[in-house]
Amino acid sequence: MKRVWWVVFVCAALVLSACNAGSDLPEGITVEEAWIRPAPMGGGVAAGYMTIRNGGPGDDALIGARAEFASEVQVHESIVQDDIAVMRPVEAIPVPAGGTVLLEPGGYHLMLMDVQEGIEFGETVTITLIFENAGEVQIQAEARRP
Amino acid sequence: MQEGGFSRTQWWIWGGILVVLVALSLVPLLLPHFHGAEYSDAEVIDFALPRADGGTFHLSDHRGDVVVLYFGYTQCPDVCPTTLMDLHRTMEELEARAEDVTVAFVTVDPARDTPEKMVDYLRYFDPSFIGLYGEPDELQRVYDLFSVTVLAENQTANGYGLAHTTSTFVIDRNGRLRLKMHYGAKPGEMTDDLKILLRERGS
Repeated sequence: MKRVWWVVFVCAALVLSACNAGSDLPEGITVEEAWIRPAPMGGGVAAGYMTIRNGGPGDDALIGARAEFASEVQVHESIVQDDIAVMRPVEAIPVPAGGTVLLEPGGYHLMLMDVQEGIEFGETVTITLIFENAGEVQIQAEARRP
Repeated sequence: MQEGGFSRTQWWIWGGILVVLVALSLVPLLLPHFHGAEYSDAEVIDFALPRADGGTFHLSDHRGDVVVLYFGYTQCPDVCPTTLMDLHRTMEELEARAEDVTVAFVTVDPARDTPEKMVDYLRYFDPSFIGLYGEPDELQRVYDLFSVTVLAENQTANGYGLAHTTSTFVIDRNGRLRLKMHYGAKPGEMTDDLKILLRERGS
């Protein structure tokens, strides 16, 4: 009978620790489906895309990023209007409390400048995102041929 | 003479007319129709530009092929690669028929796009894509042929971004400007449209 109680105790501990791990995320910011389109040539530019969720109680905003494999990373937005594409740096991408923001082709994206040569498709790279409130969040992004 | 209503003959006549009308209304559905915006079939004035991989591209040399033109630049990280990747997919979907399609990428950034950069850039998407560059004035003449807009935009860390027309232009086997595909067309739409144009004969 004692053994049963042990099993119950261990299960409860596992469940609780899992819950804790969830709340350990910085201010409830989570990033999913992160990928980059590697630069076609060394020294070229690459774009980074992802889904950012803010599970926290307060609004936040993506205000910058950096990566070791790029000389600089900017937060950008592409706008296609009247058949003309304009790309401009943005100061912040708002991620409201409880909200989700998509960084996707033709919209918000990271622009990675002067990218190192030789990133292969399928390889995973590390990017550090900087949020106004959550601070730095490290993510893994897959190099994809979309 | 029958009193009131239709006679048997009248039923047949009206019924026949109805069947013909319904059949006629279905005809447009059966005819091939394009996803892209159609042009008035005007012949494109021949132009020549240096090819990034050497030699000169004359539009008239590609009579008999369907020619797809896209205007962009190699420092464009988002919109241009998205379109070029879609075009690569189209070429894959066309399989053997892709042999009759010429895809050319015309730079809108002659100051920074060297032929070497363009060759590297395009090889990444599809080795068959041809890069076209040139002096600003000779490029401008080509932009004008397609009413392509290029505007120097704001500063970015690597210099400047450019605002530019995002459509893809399609010229048929007879050198006539036929279609303009808008940015963000669904995958497969370009393939469908090119298949229709490829079925046409060149004169």
